Amino acid sequence: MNAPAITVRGLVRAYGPVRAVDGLSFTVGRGEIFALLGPNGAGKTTTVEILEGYRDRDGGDVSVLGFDPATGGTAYRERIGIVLQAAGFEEEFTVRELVRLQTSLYPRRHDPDELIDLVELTDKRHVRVKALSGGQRRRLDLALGLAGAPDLLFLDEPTTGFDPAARHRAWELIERLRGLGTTILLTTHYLEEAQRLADRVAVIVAGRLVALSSPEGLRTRGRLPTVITFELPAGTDLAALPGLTGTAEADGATVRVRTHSPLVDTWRLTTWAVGAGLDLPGLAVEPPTLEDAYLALTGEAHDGR
Amino acid sequence: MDDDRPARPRPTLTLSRHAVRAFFRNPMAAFFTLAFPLVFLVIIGSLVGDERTPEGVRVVQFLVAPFAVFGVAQASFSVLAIDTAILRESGVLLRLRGAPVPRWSVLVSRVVASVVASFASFLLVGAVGVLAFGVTLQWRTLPALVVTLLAGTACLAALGMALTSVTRTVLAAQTAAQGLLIPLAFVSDVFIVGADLPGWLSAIGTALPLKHFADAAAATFEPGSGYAFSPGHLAVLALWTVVGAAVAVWRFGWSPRGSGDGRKGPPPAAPAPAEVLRQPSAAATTARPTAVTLLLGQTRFALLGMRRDALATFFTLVFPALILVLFPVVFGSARVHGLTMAQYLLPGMIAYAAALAGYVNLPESVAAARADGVLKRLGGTPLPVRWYLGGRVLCALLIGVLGAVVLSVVAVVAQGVRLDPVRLPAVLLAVVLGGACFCALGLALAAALPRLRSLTAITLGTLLPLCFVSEIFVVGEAPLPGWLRTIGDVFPLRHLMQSLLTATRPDGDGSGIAWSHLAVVAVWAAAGAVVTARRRGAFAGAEHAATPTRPLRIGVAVHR
Ligand SMILES: Nc1ncnc2c1ncn2[C@@H]1O[C@H](COP(=O)(O)OP(=O)(O)OP(=O)(O)O)[C@@H](O)[C@H]1O
Ligand SMILES: [Mg+2]
Repeated sequence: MNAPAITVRGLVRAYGPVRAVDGLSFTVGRGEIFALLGPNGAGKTTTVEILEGYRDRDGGDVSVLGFDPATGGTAYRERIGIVLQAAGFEEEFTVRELVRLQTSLYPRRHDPDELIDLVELTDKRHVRVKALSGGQRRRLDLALGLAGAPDLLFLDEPTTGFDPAARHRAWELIERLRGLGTTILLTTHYLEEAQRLADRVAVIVAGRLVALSSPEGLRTRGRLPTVITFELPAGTDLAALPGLTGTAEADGATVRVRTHSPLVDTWRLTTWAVGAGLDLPGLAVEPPTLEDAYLALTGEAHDGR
Repeated sequence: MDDDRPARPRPTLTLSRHAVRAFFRNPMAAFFTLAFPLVFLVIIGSLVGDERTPEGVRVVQFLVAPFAVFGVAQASFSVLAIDTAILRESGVLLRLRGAPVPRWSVLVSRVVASVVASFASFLLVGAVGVLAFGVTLQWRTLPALVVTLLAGTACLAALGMALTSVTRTVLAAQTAAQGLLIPLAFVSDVFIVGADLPGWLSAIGTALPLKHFADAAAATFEPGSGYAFSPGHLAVLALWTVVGAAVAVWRFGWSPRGSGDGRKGPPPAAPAPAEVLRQPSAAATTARPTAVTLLLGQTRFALLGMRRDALATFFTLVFPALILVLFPVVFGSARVHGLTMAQYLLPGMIAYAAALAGYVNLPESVAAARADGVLKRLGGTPLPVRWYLGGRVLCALLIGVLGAVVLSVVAVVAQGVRLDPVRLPAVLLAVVLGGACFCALGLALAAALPRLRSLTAITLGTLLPLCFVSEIFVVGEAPLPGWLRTIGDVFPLRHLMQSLLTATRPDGDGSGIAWSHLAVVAVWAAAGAVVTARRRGAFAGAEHAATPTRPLRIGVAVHR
């Protein structure tokens, strides 16, 4: 696809002394699902809200669908959809009334009932918002964000508070939107969500970009060790293990070997065990996960991987 | 799945219609703009409506305009300001900003709703005045009436939006709106018509728009000839409209400002690594808190909440003090039931403060805590809910006693009221017993209506009329009609008032304890306590879905 949907160059936004966004640059292609990751307070919401046109920026260039969000006005808003991180509703209205109201504000719009079905609030359509559960409210939020059949959808932590089944269905919904060609910028704290949905992820820490790649690229790029775990066979101790390229550590009977050569170390361990006539109960070889890579990047890894 | 009708959105129309519906679905708004002025009209109209002015006109002819103006002011000033603040703080406005809707259509829709509600309020009060009380409307003055209504509504709506614009939280908007409007109504020919106010008070009234609105509206009800236009008053309204609109445009905001979106502090610290958390020491685990420490802890907590709730404080302490100061000034040396105005008002205002603390503020805070899931969280701690409630009750009693002290000091120092020290224990007894009675009734109500998040419409809506029939708010010397008096005799408020009157009147003797009245109060207290105890499950908070993602308490103690 031709021109990118979103181009951000050197974006800066400060709140007093806090530089919430500090020189951020990235582009999002048309039809792409792009995820912003980062610890609490990293500047994700600030970035997204600048792109949505809610907040001013202090510096940098931003172009979204060919508009500058700060000046795009109505024409820009007709083409985007927004799900805010936290926004309430008018409690005295029913689901259907609010969805209808929202759709009627857009020139190109979805049918309210279809939207309600889509987020699976069909049996709640005539229920007042005040009687909805937390996750149901979030789904209503999603429906309102989709009201204008947007070309570009902003999702700030879209599935926080969903039950696991609802989260999987929300993911399917988002994938279906991708199928319709919708570009999606989402923030999330669920690494699984990023891995499942995103074409690319950007990790932000303290307003700066620390990594930008596909989820798979991020997972493998950090050169994190693979972990081999097993239970020490009865009557042996760490000293009895063969020489390994990685480092072994025991926690009770459980041994964890961190290694960059998992193939070699697994082979040495298993030949040693087979040779000695021992079993290695619970033997597992775990490659680094996206979560490990993320934790290493954001410096919050406590388990010392 | 796109809708193939190519209808262009008409956001102003759509949003206005929606805002009107929102208004009438909000029970608090409907209560304060429609029911409240109507109740005033009916009660006061029944009490004094048939008396005649020196010109021979029935008094009720002059009651419609002020009460309708009050309803209009509630709709276009208070409700508009508070609701818009709620929409801002809950993020609804922010979401609308993200839709392809011009800013002005959002603002216009809010104002349209308040204009519609104002006209509805005026029509209702006017219709009841005409149909039930024989008030005469004159076609001749109708154009002036409509123009006045439009000008007054526009002015108050502009000021309401200005108020929203300069406040940070819903609570601040509520407090400011009611704290400004109600005292202002006393000096603006709304609650007291044609009073002989001291110069500075009447200067305040004259400088601000409400009095001009009320006077211009009242002029259209005057029997006589002429079209009843009041160009001077209308000019003042126009001026304030411009001021309000300018402030609103200058300061209006779309994003939540104050209500804990967690954006003001530094980024949250990472949780401490596990090693830092030690086992509690043995001493800390063996000393189980006693009932007294639990109760005192809860009371302190409740008092803290009260101190932060300026609106509740205003209505419980400042408002009665205001009446106590204002009425004697306004009515001069008039005597009520053989006493000076201040001497008669004092026990009534003490009773009012105690009743408000127990019957309005207490259940409101409990209902809000229940709806927000606070009670539910509490249910997961070792603290039995009765200590929570006990703390709230003790807090309400303390507020009642504090009210009595403040009001007595004001009355003695500023109004020359005499109190006999020998009978102070009788005052204290009545305040505590009365306070306990209203706490019990308030809790019983909260227990009986477990699904409501706000009880203020019900509590204030019953307490205020009861104040009239219990002769707490005095309306003239004439005795109450028999049926009203019977109602007053049944409920405890009048008996509390009478006990306090016995304990404070200067010509009394003995201990000042009115046993028979106190007995009625005690019976009601016991009844309330029984209901509360039997339905205590309603305080477990588990039975309805608390909504954890809700960013804000909507309807916190909305005394409108
Ligand atoms: N309106 C504001 N005023 C002052 N500081 C703000 C404001 N909004 C955000 N901040 C600060 O800017 C920083 C980034 O906030 P932001 O909301 O963008 O973080 P986030 O990455 O979305 O966090 P989370 O994952 O918790 O949602 C934080 O330190 C925050 O406290
Ligand atoms: Mg955020």
